[in-house]
Amino acid sequence: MKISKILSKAANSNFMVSHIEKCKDPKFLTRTLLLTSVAKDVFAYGLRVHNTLNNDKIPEDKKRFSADMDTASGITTAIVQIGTGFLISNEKLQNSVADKLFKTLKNNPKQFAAAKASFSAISTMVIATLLAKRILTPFIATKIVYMQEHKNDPVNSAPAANSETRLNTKV
Amino acid sequence: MRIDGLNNASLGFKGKTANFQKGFAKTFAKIDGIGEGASITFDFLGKALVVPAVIMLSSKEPKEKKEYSAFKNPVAAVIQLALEVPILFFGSAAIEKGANKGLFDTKDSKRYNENFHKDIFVSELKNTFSKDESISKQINNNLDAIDKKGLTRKGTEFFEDLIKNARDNKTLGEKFKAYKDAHTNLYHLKNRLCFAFAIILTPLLCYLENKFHPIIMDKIYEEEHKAEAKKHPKKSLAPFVSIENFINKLQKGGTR
Repeated sequence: MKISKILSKAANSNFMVSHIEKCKDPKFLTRTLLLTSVAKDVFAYGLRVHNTLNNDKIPEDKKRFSADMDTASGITTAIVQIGTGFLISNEKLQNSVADKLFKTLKNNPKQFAAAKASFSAISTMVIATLLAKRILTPFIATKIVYMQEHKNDPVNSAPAANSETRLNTKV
Repeated sequence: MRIDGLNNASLGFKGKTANFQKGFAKTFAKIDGIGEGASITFDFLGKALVVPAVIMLSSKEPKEKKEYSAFKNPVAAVIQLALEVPILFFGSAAIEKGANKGLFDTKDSKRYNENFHKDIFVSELKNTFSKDESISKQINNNLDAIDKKGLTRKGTEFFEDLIKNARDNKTLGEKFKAYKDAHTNLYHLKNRLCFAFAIILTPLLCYLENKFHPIIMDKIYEEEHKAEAKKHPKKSLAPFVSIENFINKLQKGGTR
């Protein structure tokens, strides 16, 4: 009973009512989906870093690398996804792409609008959550972690050998 | 006819491209209800397939270290999918049921009560077209489709066209708009509430991921660890701390 009252209050709050009204605009809906995805990622990465650092079952050397990797990924993913997502969902860009891709539907404004809305959401999600988040983010994050891990290395020493040495000394 | 044939032959590639473009456009026009479900699907595909490949290809860390971090993602993706899909599926069903029973109704508004607005619209629709037998079969087919699949884009287009061509269409149009708005409102509410549930359950998701990740990693590296253990056997402390050994040592010391 209590939960249903809370849900009802939340659903009828001014914020939710106005948010749902705005979701009828495809651009706003696309960006909302993008931001909810980013919010879930950032929260999950934060928790994962905390859990990794407190998990005794993960070997110490892998623990640090894994936590650094998650921290770098969490920060990078938010910046990269929001940047690319907002760029791709830009109305001018979407209008020009839709005009070229869906010109066969120009005679049917309803179908044209529907196709444009779907394309806007899917293209934004593919580029932001598949390409930017999954290719750019790990690429940037691994570089950041690598640089951080080896910033104190002597110029001539090979990084792989250095890691091996560290592993061997622990064993 | 011959000229048409020649034209088609010379523009064969263009014709195919045009057909592809037409099909592509129509496919996008048919896509309905992009929401949290699509977001979860893209997230899963990226995490399970793309991330491990990128980490393995781009990181210069030793192979074992890279694998450990890369394999973490498919494990996380499967756990995430196993948690988020039921949340979305059962959560959406529960919210819809509650909304249609009036859980989110207030004194002033029934904005999420889809069934309430649907019943009003259907009753008005039947009143308007009760005498027109030619169209009643089509109406009934579309109403059956609504009962089975909910208000789809195809159904919306059918009723909007029907209302447009009706004589006294103002009231019917208003009733349909209220039904359509309630359907859209409920859809977005379901998405936002399921997102909130997913955020609330994120600590559980991370806990499960953290619990299962080392177990799965251990399984993957089991053989490797066994081989390493044979190369570098660890000295056990057991012989030094066993009571028997202690007594033996004492006895040996005593004889000396």
